[in-house]
Amino acid sequence: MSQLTIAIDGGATAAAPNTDLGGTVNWVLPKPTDALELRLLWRTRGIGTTDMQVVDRVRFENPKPMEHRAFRLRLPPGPYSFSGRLVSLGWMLELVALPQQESVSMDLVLSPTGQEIVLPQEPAAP
Amino acid sequence: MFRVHLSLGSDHSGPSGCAGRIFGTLFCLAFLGIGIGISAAVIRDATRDRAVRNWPQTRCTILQSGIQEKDEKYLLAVRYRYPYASQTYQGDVYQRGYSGDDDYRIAQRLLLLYPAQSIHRCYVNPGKPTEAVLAANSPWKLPVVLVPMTFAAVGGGILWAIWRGKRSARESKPRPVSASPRLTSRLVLVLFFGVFLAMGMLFLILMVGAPMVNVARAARWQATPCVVVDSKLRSHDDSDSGTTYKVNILYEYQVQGRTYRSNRYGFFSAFSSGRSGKEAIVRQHPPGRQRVCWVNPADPTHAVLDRTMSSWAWLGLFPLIFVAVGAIGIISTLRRQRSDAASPSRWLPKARARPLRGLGVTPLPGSDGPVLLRPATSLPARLAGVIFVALFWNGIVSIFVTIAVKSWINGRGEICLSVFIVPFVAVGLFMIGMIFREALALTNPRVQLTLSQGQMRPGQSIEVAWELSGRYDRISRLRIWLEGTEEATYQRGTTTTTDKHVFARIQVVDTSSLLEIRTGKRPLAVPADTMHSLSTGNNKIVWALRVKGEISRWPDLSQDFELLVSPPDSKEMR
Repeated sequence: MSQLTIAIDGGATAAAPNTDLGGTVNWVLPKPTDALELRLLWRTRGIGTTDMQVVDRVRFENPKPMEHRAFRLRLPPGPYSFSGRLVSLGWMLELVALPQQESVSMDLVLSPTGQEIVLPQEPAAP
Repeated sequence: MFRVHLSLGSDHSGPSGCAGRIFGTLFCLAFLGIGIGISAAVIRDATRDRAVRNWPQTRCTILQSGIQEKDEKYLLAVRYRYPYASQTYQGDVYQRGYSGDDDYRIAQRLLLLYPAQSIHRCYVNPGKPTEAVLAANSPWKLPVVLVPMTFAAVGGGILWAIWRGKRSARESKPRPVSASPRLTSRLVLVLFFGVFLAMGMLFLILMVGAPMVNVARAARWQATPCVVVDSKLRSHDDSDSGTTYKVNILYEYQVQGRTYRSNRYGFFSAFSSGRSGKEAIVRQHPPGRQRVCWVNPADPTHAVLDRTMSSWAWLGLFPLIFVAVGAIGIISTLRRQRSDAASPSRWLPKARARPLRGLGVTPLPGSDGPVLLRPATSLPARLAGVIFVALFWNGIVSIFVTIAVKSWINGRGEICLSVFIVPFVAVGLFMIGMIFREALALTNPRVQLTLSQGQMRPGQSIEVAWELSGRYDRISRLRIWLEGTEEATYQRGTTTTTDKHVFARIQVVDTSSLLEIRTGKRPLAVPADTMHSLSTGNNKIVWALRVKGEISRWPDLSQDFELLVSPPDSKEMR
């Protein structure tokens, strides 16, 4: 069983759009592995069919059995992380060992305020 | 929260879902069964034709030939003699499965090809030499099997989707968002719309193109005296379209001393409704009546009594709908551009607004506006939609109403059917009422909304201006508000459902002042801590300006205008 970890610089779990996100990935691989891939993606949650999009990926070729490597990603302008009554959207970083497909993920909030946007349950009367 | 059901179908856990799935399965099995059955029949027929083409050929002498009318068709009646294996036989089959044609001309051309005493090659069944044919069938009948096989494939494909859809719903795999369909999907879409386009073009050519070419060519045809031999109205009963009619006037004429016959009245000779007009034509052409017909000098078997464009030829333009659907589908599929994964076009809906440049309005520095918002659905489109749905519904219901009414007229009233169709008729009448309502709404004042810039940012204030044209004085109260809605689309089996929930409502104006109803402007701000517009396929955040104008004793003015609330891009963040 591989040990995979993702760490963001400064221990942050939230980031503003259009900024850089840096960090380190660590792994301990008991079996030979072709490569590891770090994916930046968002996905919807809620009652609707889940939509998802891998926005960026960083590939780590020729991994040693035990290693850590740094990464840097440019965050896009959106979509923001939010939570509503029917629909929510969350960002995550996912580290995948290939070809075994073993993976670990880490939730991330993408928002200008640094916090997930929470939509009101009921609208105010006009 | 409210729900919009896009289609009827099933949830495998519910009883109604089970019924939908069973209905869908039976429907698809019928498609599949009919498709396979017809395919098998076509293949069997083509195989027999191939066997005939492989029969040994021998010289045969035509003893007699003529044209007979049988079952409202004209056919070549022929008798020939042929030798085979030191014996002489006689045959009377022209071609396997031959039963004549509606058009006298085809039988006449065969008659000219096979006159008495002429010698030809015929095909003899080696296992049964008494069986022979003068002509073998074309090998090109086999590709026809593609049509029923398409039906079978559609039935099988949907059946597979119904039962695989059940498994997929359980697995609930996330769907990757794509700004445009993948290459394979685009190819499938282009092929799908290509079939529409090709079939539409084919029928357009057959129903309009070919007759129009004939009309044009007939301008050079020769006027020839002819005499009516037979004149009658043919009818055709169809359970779908009822009884249809066709004029059948057989007339005789001479070209260069040779006598010909034709039963073509004009170039548009399909069965159609409208009995009285055709009866009048038959009355004008009694047997023995002298007329002038138009004969093709290059082919004297080709003649018509009326060489003008028939008024009901316009019906032939019906395939234009298929051509339009196919062409628009292909163009829109090909125009959708691929974008990179990080591009906002993957999740940001397109703006429904038109820039107002060139009207003396100077955009604010750094803004993309001002813009004129386009309504989510225009009033004529709404009316067209209601008419289409009402026609479709009432068209189907009318078949059963006709059957029920006929049963009562014939004294054998179908009680069960009559009771069963009552709710369907009620829905149909409601839809007709909706047509009138939407038609009345067309006369309502028109509202025009302008934003000081096209893209709103959360927390940013812009200006919204409205202007009403037409009889705005009929409006007693005008309300405009901005509404934010969550939309989630999901599937359960074959059912696609969209749930909606309004999470924000921001008032722009609520007035009863006539002056303010006509025109005005107000600041408009989307809260800073809210969500921007979003469209990821199955999940959406929709921001829209809703306009409601109350009109007494008349359908209210009601229009929605979607607007784009987008996050700042990287340039604005600097």
